Amino acid sequence: MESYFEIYKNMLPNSIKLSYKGTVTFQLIDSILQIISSRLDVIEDNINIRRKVYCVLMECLQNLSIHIEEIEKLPVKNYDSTCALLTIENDNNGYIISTGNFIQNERIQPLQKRLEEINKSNIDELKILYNKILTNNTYNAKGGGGLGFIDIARKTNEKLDYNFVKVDNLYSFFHLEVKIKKSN
Amino acid sequence: MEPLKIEPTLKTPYILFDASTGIFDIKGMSCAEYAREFYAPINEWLDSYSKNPLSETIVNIQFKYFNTSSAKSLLLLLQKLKAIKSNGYNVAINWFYEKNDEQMIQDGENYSEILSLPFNLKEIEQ
Repeated sequence: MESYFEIYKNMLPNSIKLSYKGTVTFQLIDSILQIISSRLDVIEDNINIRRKVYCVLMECLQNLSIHIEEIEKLPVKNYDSTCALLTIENDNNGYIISTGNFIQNERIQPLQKRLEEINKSNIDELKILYNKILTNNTYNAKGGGGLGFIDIARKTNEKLDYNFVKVDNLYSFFHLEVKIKKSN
Repeated sequence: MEPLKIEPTLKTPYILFDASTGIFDIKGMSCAEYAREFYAPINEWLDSYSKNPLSETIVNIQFKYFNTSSAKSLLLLLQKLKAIKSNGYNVAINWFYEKNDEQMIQDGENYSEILSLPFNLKEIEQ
């Protein structure tokens, strides 16, 4: 049996590690935010970092719940398609939020285009992009209208790391990794 | 007209819009996943108020957080207040932020800039 204590010892003293695989309901989001918020109160002195991690996590989770709803209509063969995987942890540099969910292949191109545009923009360009979407008159049902990823990029001041892994002809698995660095 | 009063929840703010005093308060969290549903009746109330507003309206906005789902609805709300001002009435927007909450300061400045509507940025006294 692998030493669980070894794993514990190798973690930083003020660390956090939470993983979850399951459906992302609003109740789950509330629970995770509450858990993380309580832990941050203990391990993170910097109130701006605490706020940032909380806000960014909220946007990641709410974004996830919206996209998973699309999958429910047609299940992915052999996989628990309505379940996402998420991990929140930290290291010496800061906090890392990872999410993974299934996505229809036809949705990859427009999503990738948006993410590429966000990643090649500097902070001023991100503000322009944010305001462009904020002030256009399109709403999706949930009202965010595509602001989520831009907001995450603006708040973290980091590139959004992501990849798509093809699962079958209809679906891929979308992995997003967001970093909140202490120095930013 | 009747005041608009909405009690706060964990994810939606306290709302008290009083047409008899012209003081409108928004305070708390705005993190609902479907924020548009929450703000729709508020924006409708503002439409009615704008038909016969007081000579001065003071709006106090104090969010702890607001999510991107709220951002567009909030813009619409602020646009309606701007329209009242454009019709010749005084409208003062007080945008509150917690000490060192740079993001909230930036968000206030951003809305003010987009709308060309002066905001009074005020630090919350602890």
